[in-house]
Amino acid sequence: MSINNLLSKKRENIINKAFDLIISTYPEQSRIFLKGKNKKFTNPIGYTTNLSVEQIIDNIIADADIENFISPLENIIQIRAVQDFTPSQAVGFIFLIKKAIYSTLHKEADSNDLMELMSRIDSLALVAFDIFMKYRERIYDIKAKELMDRTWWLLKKWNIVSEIDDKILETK
Amino acid sequence: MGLPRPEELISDVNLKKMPSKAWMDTLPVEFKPGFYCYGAKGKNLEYVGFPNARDFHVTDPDWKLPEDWKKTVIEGIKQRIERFRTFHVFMDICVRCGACADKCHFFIGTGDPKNMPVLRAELLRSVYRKYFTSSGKIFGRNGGARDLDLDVLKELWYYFYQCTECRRCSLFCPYGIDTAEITIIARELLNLLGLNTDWISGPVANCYRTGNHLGIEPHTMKSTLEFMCNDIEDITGIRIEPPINKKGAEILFVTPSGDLFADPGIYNCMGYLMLFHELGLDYTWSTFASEGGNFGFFTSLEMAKRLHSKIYEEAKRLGVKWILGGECGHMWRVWHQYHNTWFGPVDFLEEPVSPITGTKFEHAKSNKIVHISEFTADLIKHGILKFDKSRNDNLIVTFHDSCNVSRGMGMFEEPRYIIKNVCNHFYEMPDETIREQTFCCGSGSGLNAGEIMEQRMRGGFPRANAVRYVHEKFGVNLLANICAIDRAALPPLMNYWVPGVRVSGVTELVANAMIMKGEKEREMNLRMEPLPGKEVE
Ligand code: SF4
Ligand code: SF4
Repeated sequence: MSINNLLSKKRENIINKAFDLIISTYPEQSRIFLKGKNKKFTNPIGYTTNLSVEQIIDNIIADADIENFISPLENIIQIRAVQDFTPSQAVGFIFLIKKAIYSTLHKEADSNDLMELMSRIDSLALVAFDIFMKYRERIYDIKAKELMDRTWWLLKKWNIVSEIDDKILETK
Repeated sequence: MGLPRPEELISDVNLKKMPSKAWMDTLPVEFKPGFYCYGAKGKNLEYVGFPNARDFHVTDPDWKLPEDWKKTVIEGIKQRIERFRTFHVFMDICVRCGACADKCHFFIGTGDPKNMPVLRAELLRSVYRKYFTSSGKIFGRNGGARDLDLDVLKELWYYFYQCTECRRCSLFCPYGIDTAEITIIARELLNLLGLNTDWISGPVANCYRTGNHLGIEPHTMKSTLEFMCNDIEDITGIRIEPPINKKGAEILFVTPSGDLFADPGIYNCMGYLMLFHELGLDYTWSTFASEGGNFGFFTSLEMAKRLHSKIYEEAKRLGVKWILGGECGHMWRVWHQYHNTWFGPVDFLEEPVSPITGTKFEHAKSNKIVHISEFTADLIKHGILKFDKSRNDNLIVTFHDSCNVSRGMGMFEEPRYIIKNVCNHFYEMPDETIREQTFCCGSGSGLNAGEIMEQRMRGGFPRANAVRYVHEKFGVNLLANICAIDRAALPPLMNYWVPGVRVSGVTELVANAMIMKGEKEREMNLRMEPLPGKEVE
C-alpha cells in the first residue's frame, strides 16, 4: 500500500495522536480542558490546534504544495507565539506531528517511503520558524503603534510633529 | 546519550511540573518579559502617601520590603475579613466544584492552571487558612494551608496582576463567589507593601494631582477640545464652543481622559461635542474632574474613594443638577456599585431628568449619574435625532460588551439599540461570548500596560477569536464598544489576531450619522476619511 493510502487509512489515529502530543506541551492540569476540541469559542486553543492539525495531515495526504500549509501553521503558531514557550517549543510541534505519523506507520510502511516523508515534513519546521518570527515582529510593531496611538494626535495638534500634507504632494 | 530527539526537547518540557495535588510546589514564579508589569516608581507612591514608597523592580530578587512585611499582610487580611463580609465568606465557602475553572479568559488563553479562578483564589486562600482557620493551623499543607514567604508573595503579585476583575468566573459559580472581589482585596494587601505597578500607580498620582491619568493640565485640556472643534468645523461647517468649568450649568459631563488624547477615543470625544451642541444642552466640561476612569480602584478602595470624590466635589462647586458620564467601563462600576457604600446617597444633586425628552432616569435616583448610552438611547427612542445611516455604510459592525457595564451593571440593550439606529450593518458575535458571558478585552483593571503585550494578546484571545468569526462570516470590520480601556486595548488586539477590524466608540458612530442643523454637505467622517460614495476617484 502506498504511503499516502496508509496515511489516509490511519488519518483519525494520526490526528488524535498528534493533537494529544501538542496539548501535552501545556501544563498537566489544563490538558483535560484544552483537549475539548469542539468548543470553538470557549476553548479556542484546543479547537484551533485540532482543526489545524487536521488540515496539515490532510494536506500531507493530498501531496499539497507548501502554500497550503501556511494557514494552518499560522493559526497554531500565532497562539504559541504569545504563550509561555521558548521559540523552539513554539514551533517544535512539527516534530510531534512527525512522531505521531512515524509511530502510527512505521510497522506497515515501506521504510524508504517513510524516511522520505519524514524528511519532507522537516521543511514545515523551517516555514514554521519564519511564521513565528512574523508574529514576534507583529508584537513589536503593535507595541510601537500603541505608543503612537496614545500620543500622536496630541503631538500633531500641538505642532510638535508634522506630517507631509497630501496636498503638497499633489502640487509637485 | 548523544543528542536528544527534537520531540524530547519540546514535548512535556514546558510542564511546570504541576501534578494536580502539588500546585504549591511550583514556586518560584519565573518573571519573563512580556508577562509581568513593571514595578511602581517611588515618587508616584509617595505622592499619594502609599506605604513603602521606593522604586521597585520585579526581577530583582530583593523587593525592598519593610522588615515586618509578613505581619503587615496578615494584619491586613484580618482587618479585611472583619470589614468585608463577602471577603470572609469567599475565603471559606468555595467547595472546589470547578465550575469556574475554565471560564477565565486568562486561563483559556494561557492554559496556565493558576489562572483558573478557583486556583487564583486558592493562592490567597491557602495563606488565609494558615493564619485564620484551625484546620489550616493544625493540618498545615494537608489542610490546604501554606506559610506566607517571599516566593508566595511574589506568586500572589504575579497572578493577581493577571486578573482583570472582569467577573466572568462569578457568573458560573453556584455560590456566587466573585474572584474579582478577591483580586481587589489581594491588590490592597500588596499595596500595603508598595507592591504596585507602574502603569497603575503613575495614573493614580497624576489623577490625584491634575485630575486625570495622563496629567493633562487645564489649559491643555481646553486647547485639546478646541482642536477637536476645529476638526468638527472642517467636517460639518459648524463651529462649536465647548463650555468649560461653567458654573450653574445643568449637567456636568465627565469622560475618561483617554477620549481626550488617544486614538480612537478622540473621535468619540468629537462625537460628544457634536451631540451636545446639536441638542443645545446646558452642560459643562470640567478641567478638575477631567477623568471618569479611576485607577485608584485598582490599588485600594480608599484610593478609589479619594479620586472619585473629586467628581462630586466639582459637581457641588459648579452647582450642576446631575452628572452625565461618557463611555467608560469601570467608571460605571465604581459609580453604581461602590459609590453609595463610600459616601451614601448624594443629597446635593437632583434626580436626573433628560432636559430634552423629560425622561426620569429613576435607576440613577441615588447616584445622580447617567451613562451617555442611556441618555442617547432615550433621545433616539423619542425621535429627537435625525440620522443619515448611509454615512456609516462602509462599516460592518459588531459590539463588544465591556465587562463592567454589561456583566457588572446589566446594560446590554442601550448600546445595541443605538448602533442599530445609526448603522445599517450590525452582526452579533456568538452568544457564549457576549452580554453577561462576554469575554474581557484582556487589558482591564490597569493591565493595559505596553510591557505586557504578550499577556494582553493571550488574555484577549477568546474575545478576538469571536471577532474573527464574525469578520470571516459577515465581513465585520468595526468593533464598537462603550469603554475607554477597550478603545485603547482592542486596536492592538485586533492588529494581532484579526487585522482589518478597527475599533470605535458608539458615540462616534452616532455623530457621524447625525444630521445637524445648518451643517454643510459632509464629505468626511470624524476621522477625516471620505464618506462612502465621496471617495476621490
Ligand atoms: S474576574 Fe475575570 S480575570 Fe479574574 S479570575 Fe475571574 S474570569 Fe479571570
Ligand atoms: S465555581 Fe465557586 S465554588 Fe466552584 S470552584 Fe469556583 S469559586 Fe469555588
